Amino acid sequence: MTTHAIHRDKQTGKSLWADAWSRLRHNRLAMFCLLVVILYTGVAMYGEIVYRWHQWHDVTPPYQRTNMELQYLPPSFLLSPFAVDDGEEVSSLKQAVTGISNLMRHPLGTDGLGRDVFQRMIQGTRIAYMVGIVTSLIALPIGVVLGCMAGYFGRRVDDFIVWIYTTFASIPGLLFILAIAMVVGQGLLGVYLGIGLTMWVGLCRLIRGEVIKHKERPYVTAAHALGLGHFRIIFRHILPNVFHVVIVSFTLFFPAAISTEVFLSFLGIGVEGEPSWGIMISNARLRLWHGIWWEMAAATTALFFIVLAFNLLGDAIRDALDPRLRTGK
Amino acid sequence: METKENILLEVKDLRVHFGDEHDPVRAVDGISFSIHKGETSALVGESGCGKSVTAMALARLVPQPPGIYAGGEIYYYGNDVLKMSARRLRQMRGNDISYVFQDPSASLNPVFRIGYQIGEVLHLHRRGLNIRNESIELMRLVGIPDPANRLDSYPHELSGGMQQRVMIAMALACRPKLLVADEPTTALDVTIQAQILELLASLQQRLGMAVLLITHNLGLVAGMAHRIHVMYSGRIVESGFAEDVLLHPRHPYTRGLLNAVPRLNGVEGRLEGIEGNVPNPRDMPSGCKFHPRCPYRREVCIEREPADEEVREGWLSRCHFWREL
Amino acid sequence: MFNYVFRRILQMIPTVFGVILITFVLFNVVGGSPALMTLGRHVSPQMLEEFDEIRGFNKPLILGLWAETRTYEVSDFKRNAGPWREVDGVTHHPDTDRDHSHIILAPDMEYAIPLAFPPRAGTSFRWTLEYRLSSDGSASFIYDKPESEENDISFKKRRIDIPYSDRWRKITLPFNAGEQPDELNMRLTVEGAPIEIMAMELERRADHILDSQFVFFIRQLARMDLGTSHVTNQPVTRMIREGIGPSLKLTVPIFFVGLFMAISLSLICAFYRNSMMDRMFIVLAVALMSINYLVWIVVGQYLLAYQLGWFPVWGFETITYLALPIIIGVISGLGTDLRFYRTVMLDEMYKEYVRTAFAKGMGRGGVLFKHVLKNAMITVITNIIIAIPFLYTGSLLLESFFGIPGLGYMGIEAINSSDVDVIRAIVLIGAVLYVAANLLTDICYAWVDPRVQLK
Ligand SMILES: Nc1ncnc2c1ncn2[C@@H]1O[C@H](COP(=O)(O)OP(=O)(O)O)[C@@H](O)[C@H]1O
Ligand SMILES: [Mg+2]
Repeated sequence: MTTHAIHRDKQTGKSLWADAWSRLRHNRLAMFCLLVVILYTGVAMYGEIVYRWHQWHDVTPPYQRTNMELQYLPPSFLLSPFAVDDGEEVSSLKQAVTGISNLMRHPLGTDGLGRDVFQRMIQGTRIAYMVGIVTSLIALPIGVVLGCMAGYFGRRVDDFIVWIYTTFASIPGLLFILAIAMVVGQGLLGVYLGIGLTMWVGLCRLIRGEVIKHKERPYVTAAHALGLGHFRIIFRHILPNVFHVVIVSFTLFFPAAISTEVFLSFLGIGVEGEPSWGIMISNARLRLWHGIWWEMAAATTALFFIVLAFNLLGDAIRDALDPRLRTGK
Repeated sequence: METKENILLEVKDLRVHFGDEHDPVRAVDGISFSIHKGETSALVGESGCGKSVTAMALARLVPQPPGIYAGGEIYYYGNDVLKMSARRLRQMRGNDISYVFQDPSASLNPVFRIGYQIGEVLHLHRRGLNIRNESIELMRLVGIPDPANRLDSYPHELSGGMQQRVMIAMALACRPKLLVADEPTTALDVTIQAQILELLASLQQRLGMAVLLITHNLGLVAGMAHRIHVMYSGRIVESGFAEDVLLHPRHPYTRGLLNAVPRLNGVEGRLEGIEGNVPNPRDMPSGCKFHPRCPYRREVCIEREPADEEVREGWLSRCHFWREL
Repeated sequence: MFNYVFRRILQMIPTVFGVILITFVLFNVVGGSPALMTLGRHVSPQMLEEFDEIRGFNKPLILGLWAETRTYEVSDFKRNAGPWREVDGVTHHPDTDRDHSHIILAPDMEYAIPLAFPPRAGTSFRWTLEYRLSSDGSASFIYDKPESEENDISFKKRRIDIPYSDRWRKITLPFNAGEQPDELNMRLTVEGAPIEIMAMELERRADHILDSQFVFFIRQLARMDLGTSHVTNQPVTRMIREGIGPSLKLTVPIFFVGLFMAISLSLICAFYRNSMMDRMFIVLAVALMSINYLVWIVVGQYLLAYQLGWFPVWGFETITYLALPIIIGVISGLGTDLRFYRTVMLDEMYKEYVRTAFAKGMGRGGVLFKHVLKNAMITVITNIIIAIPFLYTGSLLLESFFGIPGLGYMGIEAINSSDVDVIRAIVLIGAVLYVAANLLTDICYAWVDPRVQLK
């Protein structure tokens, strides 16, 4: 099926990727999601710059600056500008003006320590991205390499790798992640390892299946006939043909990693002292009961849209890449 | 022979598209033909030229999305199949028109016993019959040995040839007026192919139904078909009585197909196909759709698509130069 | 059939072994000292040693005779004199090469060795010493070993000499702790010239070469003993037995209600595929699954239980306490399930046998509910069985948020208090159940799918 497709596409001078991209470009929802993802990426990068700058200059970044006087300020768009008029005295007018400008400095309000929720949300994005990227960098290579090796070499190698991933797959996922994170400790490192070392299994299984299919294809036989080495065949010839699996897996993996990080931070495993969305939710949870909802709303909305964008984009990419599912839409 | 009463089914300018409305794949692009009572017609063409879609359209079976019936009429006893009510359509399917598909192992439901699957047709259209006996009778009719025991088999327990016989039994259950056999032998072993074709031919004679035989192999239809319709890229490029079309093809594509038939008796018999591939439906050539592969191509072929031209009564060709062939 | 099951059970063994290995590696090897992790740094070495002793952590890892002991705090004197800090006559000599930093014990003195606590009775130990001793001096370990003769206890002085060596030299000196090791009173005498010590280590001898952490762990498992929680001081097996009921009361309804809803909705989607309704359900499903589980719980609890007061907020007393967690559980899982089953149904819808069924003259409903559903059931049933282990682990968050004393709650508590045994046990049982469920799936597969035969 795919050889045929690739074959035909080559004739018309269009690769599978270009083909998929053109299909994707016509999908308006997917393009919108891509835009959202790019926006979040920009925010995360901005967050990283802010973080680095403050670290470099050794000053407390704004999202850590506590100010008990500004505790629990609601989002500024909720504040009526006429509130200033209540301050009758002239002297207090100035006070009110500074007060208002203070308020405007916190577009999404402040938390229980008077820290700016908006800034913290941006830092949360940064941490979410770090987790998404680092865990992908751990899990995807493991999954790809093991999957390729298992599928390509078969026999003993296959048995061994299948054994490893069945074993990993058997262990209840979240508990496994929690246990790894707990044992490794050390904040984010534990989170990275916990998520990264458990989530490669699905990808490995998929890649293995695809490689097994491709191993018998004529182009691989031809590569053998040319006397190419195993690793060249795997990584230069087979891998590009199964790479769409990696892309699709990544789009599923990334939001899952982000959600898991939130979960871990919420439980107090993971980042310490830095504003992850999970920590924001954890902090905001009890305040919610006192009607202070904005911190909760900020973190959960930010989380929701990135996960949603990734999920929809992942679906669209899969539809665009996987010829078998094309008819489905 | 060419009288109106003899016509069982008439297809007029049928168009079936796939995909979105703005940039559709025109799988069937304006074809017309008729099927006569009790006759065997053949629909021939390379893979992907739209034969199956045409066949499915006859009972409005093209799934709808992604398929779109973009135009034309299909008259069955004066009723347009494409405008029929869903209820009437259900009554017609399996009862008046029935199908045998290409791959019997995929076309039979793997989780139901074959007795059940044959009986289901009877249950739908012939309430009140003794379904079990009738099923056994049908299986005997299509030459399945030991039918009473086979009833309780699952499809995977039968060989490909037997599975196809089950499909045929299912198709014949209600003694249809038209049996559409869509490449009924392509998925089978060569030795079995002849048996199945023979079976179809003998059943056609015995039951007197019309058969639409779809194949990509002109050689198969030689002994069986009364009429042949040659399809290319969603169009019928030549149609006529079998002896005319097979002996004096008036379209270069028919010639190419004939050349592609391996001749076992001739010494000089060589497998000579047609150069190139079927055009990509998203990227159709201008003018005559066959021109990029046509050995007789001239300027006009690239510019203008030929219309149906009558070679003789009941014999049409879609080639500018049919006279010269 | 029997043969097949037997062979599949044999095939399970490597996986179960793998799981045991992973939990072992995770908790015994990677984790550093579980005792430290659990009890923290502020407890006495003796308590840590006890913790290790109960759980076999004070043994060699996989094979071997000698294992670390906390009786004497290992020190290489790189930075300071370590346990010898407070001992008179000992000076720390920092070297420019940090590795050569050492302590110097002045001559003609007897030093009480700073043991953290008396060594365990009836055990063999060995000192590993890296030292320098000039020919003018001599040094030896001396200890009074009590020996009882009938009712009379006498002390016999034992002595291990340290041979002199003017270059850095490493030796090991074995000795035996007696029956009453608190009387051991071990000292180091130095005469003539000072002894310089670069590293000093005390190791305990295991009973035999297989007396290791790994073997201990395996034997414990073989006895169906999953250890003891250090928090509750209860055997873990008992805790699990108590926790599994509440967990199942929560997860089983969630699972079946969710399954029923997901399958019904997915059938609707398949029936009206590509219609407005189908598309709406799909967008809804993706939106549902994009909302974090945490958010469902936190907001659900706040809105429905606290604000509106429709449900109890916390606790596990009557059935009504389960209602809200079940609703939240169902809704939070619905998106994923709906999408999954819709794909399953649609995959079937595009199979060729569906075309045959339509060609027979069947209506859409008949095709869907008879032909498609029966085929889809194969996937559904496998999916049900494979979910069993997850029913057991309960729902970590739901249980801890709503105070349902199940395994999920236990798991979260254990993570918070670093209760190694509990976590290890839950992980292990979950994995074993998963492996068993896999076997069951294969068998059921053969049962519902006539094409599959157990051979
Ligand atoms: N389900 C479908 N979805 C999209 N395109 C289809 C579908 N079925 C058929 N087509 C298109 O219709 C063309 C003709 O197909 P078909 O009738 O199956 O060819 P054949 O002559 O081999 O039977 C194909 O080239 C394909 O592009
Ligand atoms: Mg076909």
